Amino acid sequence: MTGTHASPLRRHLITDSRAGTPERMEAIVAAALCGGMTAVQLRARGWSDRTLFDAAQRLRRLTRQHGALFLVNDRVDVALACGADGVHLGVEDLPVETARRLLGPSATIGYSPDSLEDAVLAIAAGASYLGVGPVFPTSSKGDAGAPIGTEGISLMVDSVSVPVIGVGGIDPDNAGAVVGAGACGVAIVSAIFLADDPEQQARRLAAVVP
Amino acid sequence: MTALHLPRIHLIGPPEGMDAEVFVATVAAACQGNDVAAHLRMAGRDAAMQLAIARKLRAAASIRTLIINDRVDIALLVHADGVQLGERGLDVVSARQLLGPDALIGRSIHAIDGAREAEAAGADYLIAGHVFSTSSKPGEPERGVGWLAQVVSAVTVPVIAIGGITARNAHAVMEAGAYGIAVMSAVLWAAEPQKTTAEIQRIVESCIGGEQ
Repeated sequence: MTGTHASPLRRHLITDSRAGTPERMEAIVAAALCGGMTAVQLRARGWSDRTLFDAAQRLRRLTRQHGALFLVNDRVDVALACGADGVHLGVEDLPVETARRLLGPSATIGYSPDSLEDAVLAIAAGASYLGVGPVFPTSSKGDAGAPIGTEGISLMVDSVSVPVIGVGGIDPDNAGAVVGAGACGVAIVSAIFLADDPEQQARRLAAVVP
Repeated sequence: MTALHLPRIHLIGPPEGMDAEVFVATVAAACQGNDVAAHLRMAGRDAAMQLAIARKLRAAASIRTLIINDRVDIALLVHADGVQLGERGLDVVSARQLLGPDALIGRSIHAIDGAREAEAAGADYLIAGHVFSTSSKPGEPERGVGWLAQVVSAVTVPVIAIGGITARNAHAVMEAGAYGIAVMSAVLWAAEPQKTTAEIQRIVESCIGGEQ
């Protein structure tokens, strides 16, 4: 794939409701964006819709200031209401074609497939990119399944025509291997959200995934 | 005031422990010949599943008014008649922007301040409760018909009463000034949901007979 270094999917931050409040989430995301993250996906399981929307509005402002892509996990309505660039969907979320219908042709729609067949169907339905993993063991998503390793990334990259980003247990120390396996970018949760210095972690990531 | 048709009977489900398919069939039966707003409320369940159930409800010919709880995206996809936003749900203004002027937007409230705020934000109606205690929300305090009357007098939009309402106490709720009532278990677990709904509807209509 050409031009992947310029892709906004290159260094993707997924938020974590363990941030506690929208204010604290905003502060962590702001630091990570200063450190060079290129996309933010808002995920906050367990938060009320009102709190989620509060966070969405804050992160929309921040990502706009930094020229970063902003996606909302699962909630197409929240994405529409806050003017996000798109959504990220999983197998139990709204089907990709319905999200595409609501968001229009220019929206970015990410999808986390549970198999190669599922990935191919999602692409046909309008998915812009795939989030594939967990590449490594992860603590941030209890239902993530067994790690697929960098081999799993290569297999998906070789089989599909859209960008693939690796997700799950990725940090600045192992991210190089994920893009080395052909991923267009990496998505990070805990390595930034639980870090003492999120900006420094983002800078370390940008050094290995430029 | 909205020119949209707001039914006086609101049937909300599925209740805890009811299979989704049974729920769809029961609501469709209850709505037969009755003027009911069917609400899909599956908080915390997968969107894919909620969409599938919403589509089945929309396909049922007897359900003329379909309201989706909280998920504005699902309401858009199934061409629902409106949404019901929880007290901690999305704001009315955002929902209105997405759904347009022809959608019913209800807000659930548990306090008089919340009722005033929801009205100011453009809610078409409110669902207020819990008036009586109910097995479906055991932690909710019983606020009573006196409180309901206070809510009704604090706003100009229609107020639908919720919480432990049955054919036995529906009259008292309407006397307190409610526009209509919301029921869940009283109808959905009834032996004959259509008859029970019709009975409640008769009580509601008898209370408003002189006004409309």
